[in-house]
Amino acid sequence: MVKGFGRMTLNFKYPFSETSATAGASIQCGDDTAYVWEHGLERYSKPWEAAPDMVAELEGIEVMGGVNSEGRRVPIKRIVPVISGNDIGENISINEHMAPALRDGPNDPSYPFRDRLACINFGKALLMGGGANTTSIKLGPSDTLNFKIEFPTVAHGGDATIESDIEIKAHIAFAKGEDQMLNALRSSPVAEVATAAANNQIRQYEVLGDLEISDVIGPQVIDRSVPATMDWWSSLNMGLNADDPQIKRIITYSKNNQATTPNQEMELVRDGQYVQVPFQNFRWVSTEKKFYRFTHCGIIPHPNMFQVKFDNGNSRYPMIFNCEVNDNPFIMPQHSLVSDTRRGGPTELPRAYTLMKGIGSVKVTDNGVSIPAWAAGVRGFEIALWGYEYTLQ
Amino acid sequence: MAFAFFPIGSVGLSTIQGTPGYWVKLPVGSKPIRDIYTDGAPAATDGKGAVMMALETNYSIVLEDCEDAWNETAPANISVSADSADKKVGTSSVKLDIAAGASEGAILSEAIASPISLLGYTHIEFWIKSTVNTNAGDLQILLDNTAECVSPLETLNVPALTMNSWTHVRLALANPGLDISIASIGIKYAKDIGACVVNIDDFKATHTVTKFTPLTISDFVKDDVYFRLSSAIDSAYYGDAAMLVYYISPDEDPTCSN
Repeated sequence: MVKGFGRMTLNFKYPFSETSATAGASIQCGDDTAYVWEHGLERYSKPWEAAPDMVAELEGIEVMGGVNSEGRRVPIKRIVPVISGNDIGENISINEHMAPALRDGPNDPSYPFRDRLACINFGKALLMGGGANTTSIKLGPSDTLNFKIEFPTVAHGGDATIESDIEIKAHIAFAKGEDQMLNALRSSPVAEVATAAANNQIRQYEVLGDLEISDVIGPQVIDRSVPATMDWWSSLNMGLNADDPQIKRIITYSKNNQATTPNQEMELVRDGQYVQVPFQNFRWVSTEKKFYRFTHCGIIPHPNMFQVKFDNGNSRYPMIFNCEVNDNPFIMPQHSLVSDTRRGGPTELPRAYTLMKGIGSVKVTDNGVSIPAWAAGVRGFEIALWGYEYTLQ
Repeated sequence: MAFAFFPIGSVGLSTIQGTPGYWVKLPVGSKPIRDIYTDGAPAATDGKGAVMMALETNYSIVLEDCEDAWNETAPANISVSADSADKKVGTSSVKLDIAAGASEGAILSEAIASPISLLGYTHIEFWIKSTVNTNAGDLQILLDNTAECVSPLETLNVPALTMNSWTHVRLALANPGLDISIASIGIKYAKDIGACVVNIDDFKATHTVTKFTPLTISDFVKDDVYFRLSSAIDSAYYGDAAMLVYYISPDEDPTCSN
């Protein structure tokens, strides 16, 4: 049996200059013969498929292009991985600003989701020494990988026609052969992973707490071990068969669908009213079983934006930040104009925004002049968050 | 300091970010605008805001003020009158009510009482409006040193016109060195464009030079490539003008984070 272990990059190419797309379209590799994935000299117009004796992890993606005739990045509603035909984007909605190309121009060492040349915005692979809490996307034997690109409608600020190429670089870690998988896990620098693997187990482990409310709810432990066989791989975090307790990656953003009322907070809720679509609801209800933690934020403020608040029902002192064009603490990895300076980002929150047994939401206030809603030719504000959703047993 | 230098023939926009006005978009690839001078028109040498470089009038002379109806010739099927209701300069324009039966090549002319030498002039300028769209050359302007423009020294094509819109036209003289003692000015119905009404006003001979004109910027979109001028640029400048814009981009803003 041929063995293998390592990292590889799959280039999913969507040459819209050859086969164009339109506002509101949803495109996957294979929908047209022009949409392909490439690896070395391999080139196929269909999803990538793991070998029958292979386990893999999607560590991250880079989004390259497209750029429209105005020199702006083509608006993308969401890019989401599709595993064996299943859209796993419950909490994943990546747009054109959120997953920069690591080698597009000067390297950006401040990009937080990077491990050497690999992009790890989903999570560093268990196979590559990632933590026991990693949320890399797990692909079991024979699982397929594809990417869906959805474009916004014109009314939501999308381009009517997309004629510029988009490429998604998918960073994969893989082990072919069960002994290779075990060797990798046993060699992990993470004690929980290596120790469990030595006992033929794969362990997922995380302790989540919040000092501010430790008298209300103490540290919670997510601890789950499965047999270290390939059959169990897709039951790990972010696998198709993931089971509780589990951790899910959140990478998402929100845009205002309604103009702000001057000097009043706008809570980013109610799709179709304050936000455009359901995944943009930035209000979370944490129960005794489900917790949230957000670690990074990126904002493209509107010139009339003044403040962003990370409200937390359990705290009388929610995190509040001035967020103006001239004073924006939360840099988005990419800006709308290609010519704009790349300044790094997203920014790590000074303290993780943690919701345990409480309700939290993001609220925005203008500077006294209303921020318009996104529309054709009109720009509002955009807030992106990177975090995790924890579900206990 | 970032700057952009570009021809302004096609930069007039109407509505940006929901705000109507005379918007200008920086060329593709320009750094976005973090800040730009908006406190009135700067001096041309201030190095801030926007400065237009365009052919502008250095000196001029009125050829025909169009305050009364042209009557040197009376071509068939073209009724001529002074129109005080629809004019651009003074109290009237000259109105040509062209009937369907007007002949291609018909010439309406007006005598210039004191013949004018155009030595030292480079262009003629005038206002014109038509009730139908026209192509370049459908109408022509004639200048002659003999009456009724029978042997014109200058035959100048009027550019394409958009119906029902006054257009300021500037045409380069073909042979200014020969334009001595101009005694007649005319408009020629060079192509049969059907029944229509044409108004003309304020014919001048001008000498033009490239001038630097500071422009007043009234608004801009932060961190984007749009700025709004306080007023529209005369369409006669299209194709001849360039704009130099000085501004601060995000990467040089001292208050910029990171």
